[in-house]
Amino acid sequence: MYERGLTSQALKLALTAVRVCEVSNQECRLLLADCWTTIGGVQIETHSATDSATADSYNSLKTALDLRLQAVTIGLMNADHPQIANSFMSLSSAALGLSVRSSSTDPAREAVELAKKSIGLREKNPTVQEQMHSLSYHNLALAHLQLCELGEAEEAATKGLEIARNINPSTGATHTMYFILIPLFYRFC
Amino acid sequence: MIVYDNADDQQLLAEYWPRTTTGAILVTSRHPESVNSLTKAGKEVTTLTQTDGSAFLISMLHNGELHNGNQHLHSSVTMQLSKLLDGLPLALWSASGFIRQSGCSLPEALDLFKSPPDLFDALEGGSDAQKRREKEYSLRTVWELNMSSLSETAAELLGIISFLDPDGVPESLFKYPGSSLRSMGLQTFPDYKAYFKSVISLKAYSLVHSTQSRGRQEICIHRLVQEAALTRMRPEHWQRMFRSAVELLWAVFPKQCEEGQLMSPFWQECLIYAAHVESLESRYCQSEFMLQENLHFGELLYHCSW
Repeated sequence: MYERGLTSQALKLALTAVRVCEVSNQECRLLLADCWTTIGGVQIETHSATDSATADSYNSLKTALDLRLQAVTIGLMNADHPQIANSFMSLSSAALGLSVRSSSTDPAREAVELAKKSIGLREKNPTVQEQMHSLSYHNLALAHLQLCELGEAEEAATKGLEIARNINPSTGATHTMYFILIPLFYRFC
Repeated sequence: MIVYDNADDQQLLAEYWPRTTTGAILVTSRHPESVNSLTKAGKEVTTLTQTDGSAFLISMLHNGELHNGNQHLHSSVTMQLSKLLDGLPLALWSASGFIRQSGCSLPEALDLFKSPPDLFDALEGGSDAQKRREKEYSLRTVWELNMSSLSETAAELLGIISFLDPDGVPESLFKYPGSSLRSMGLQTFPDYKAYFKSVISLKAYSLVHSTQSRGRQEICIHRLVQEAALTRMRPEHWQRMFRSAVELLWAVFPKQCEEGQLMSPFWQECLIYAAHVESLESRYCQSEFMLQENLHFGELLYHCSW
């Protein structure tokens, strides 16, 4: 439902799933993390221009990441599992959302750090989830852009574009996205 | 014209069936198949369409209820009521009686009827004397008689279907239920033959009907039949049927891979079962206190939400 844009239905089911997990005596950290990922994703997609809505998505995705890191600690999941990288990437997006409304650079700085952690994990297995790998660089570029770090933004965008080309050299859309991004760096910063 | 009312016994009906070839025969029965062997030229009176149901409801209400306020709003509400009551003439007749007696407005009645436990109380409302008189003919009584006559497997099938979306339960859901249910200690259908016999039985009692939709064979059930079936369940039975419905859906619903990849290749398949997952979730939310923990249910909700 989330993938198809049925966000309110997705949110309702995911919240109920959280309630189901919370009354369970069985180990369900990973399932809970998945549910909070859906909830946070829906909140990012549907947030209005309010601080609290953006903070909600950050908190949901932070919960998801924390649960996955706990799972790593107790041996339920490998530290380099793709879902850990996905979690860092999603939280980076949420932090970026917070930074847009913040006068402080802290959220943007956090978005950069989280994106780098996601990338760091993906570089260990570069052929796994290449699209997400490219997106992680895209998010890093946006975070640097938010900080007006143009050189770093361009470097990240270029790297993301390079990975995207490797996935499908004939696809023009991703290329177009990055070619638009780079001139914007110079116009709006 | 001859009318056979509540003609459920086929043998008895055959004894009194007219020998002439002219005239008209009207039969009411809880077993529609009872007349099939007696005549080739017949027509089953099915439920009303939404429009006809709305018109029927309007005709049953006194003019006063409809002349106060906006006519367009009223016809919109009667259309919604007709849909909510699945075009069942008896349900619409009962609803009109409730509206007249209670004096509530049409929008108020619609809000009330949307709440399933209140729906039956409203449809069977009236004085105690009236309730006793009409008990024989009440919807719940009719369905109670039918449901109490079902075999154990047919009753279990009805119980499971009562938790799902009423507008099309794919038969594929029941094709390979045995192993997943047995592993959970829920012995419902030993094989597909048992399921098939159960469906025939449910159809014979007019509790469900089959349709062909989008190339699939589906079972449909009236919402009111679902409510009647759920209302008569004891709590432990309710738990078991809910769990069975969860396990059946969990066995067939596409799962997201561990790496969290997109499920777009499975969208069409997800669409077949999504409404049923939502129906289960709705029942869970209505009766959370009744349910034991069920992690498969949590997983089902997650995969459908993603």
